[in-house]
Amino acid sequence: MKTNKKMISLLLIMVMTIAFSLPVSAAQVTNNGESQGTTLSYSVSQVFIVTIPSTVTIDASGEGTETVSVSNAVIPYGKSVKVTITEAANYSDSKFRLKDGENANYLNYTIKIGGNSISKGNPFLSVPAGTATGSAELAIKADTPTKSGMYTDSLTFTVTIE
Amino acid sequence: MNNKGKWLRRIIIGVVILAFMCGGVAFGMNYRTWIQGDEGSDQIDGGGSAVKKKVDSAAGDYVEPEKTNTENQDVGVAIPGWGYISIPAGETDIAVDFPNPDANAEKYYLSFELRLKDSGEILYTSELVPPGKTIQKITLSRALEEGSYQAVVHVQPYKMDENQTPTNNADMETELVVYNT
Repeated sequence: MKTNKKMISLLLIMVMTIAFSLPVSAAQVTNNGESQGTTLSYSVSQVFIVTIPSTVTIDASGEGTETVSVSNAVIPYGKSVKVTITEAANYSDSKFRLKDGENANYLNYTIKIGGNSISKGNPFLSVPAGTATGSAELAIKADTPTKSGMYTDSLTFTVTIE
Repeated sequence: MNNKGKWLRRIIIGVVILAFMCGGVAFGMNYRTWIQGDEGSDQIDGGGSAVKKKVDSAAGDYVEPEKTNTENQDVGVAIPGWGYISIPAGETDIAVDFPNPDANAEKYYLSFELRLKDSGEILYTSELVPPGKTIQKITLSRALEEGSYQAVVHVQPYKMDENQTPTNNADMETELVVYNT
């Protein structure tokens, strides 16, 4: 018991000695009543991940659903992550079109969110700062085809911080 | 044996022969039905009339085929975003961070192209970056002067299959901050 107390006392002395000998990095307060300020800085990088559909899949009924999402968003106060379709490989006359291989054979399709059509160049998803995630479900519907074939299109999603 | 008996025997033999002949003709006309049955038969008999067909027991209402595991797991391509890219003026060898997120594991390569938004000038194009890997050092096509430039990082994913098929892609708009060292 006595040995334990001695050990603890010795340990405390060592801790106090080390603590008093450490340099103080902040401004020292030397006089009674004096105050000093210090500045803490924390740089938070802007990051986020946008998940886009790899392809647009349309089933036998001519319809398909794809999801675009924003996750892990850390962006400046007052800003939003905005996602827009800015390019479509076969876009013409303000219409999205699927193309049948190398043939000049096209099939119009629409992209809607909640029943509202989205157009090229207008943001369809906006995730404000402080909201880490957000998503939009795109409902795709193709016109009735009259020619068989493998129809495809390629979309470019542009992501901005505004 | 008297004549009456002889005639009776001949009549019986004649009736028996006639019965065999009729039986043979009837067998010839119906042996397919009697022996093979009509199940699974789609042949036409000698008279030209079709044998009655049965409805296939496998026939049913159309059901959308279930997607394969790969299709079910395909939740899209993860694209990283940046706030700005900071590089020193007058230098072409610069540090960046162009990662392919782990979320694309076993599914997509990414390639990165850095270009100036206004002019479209391409400053750098990468090869394929595997999932979980990143590019941290690049060489620009030319050095830039001090200033702030609107830039676009064009991210093109490719399927990790034999054809390395390109998929939908993304333009990540960013700011290129060029500072004096």
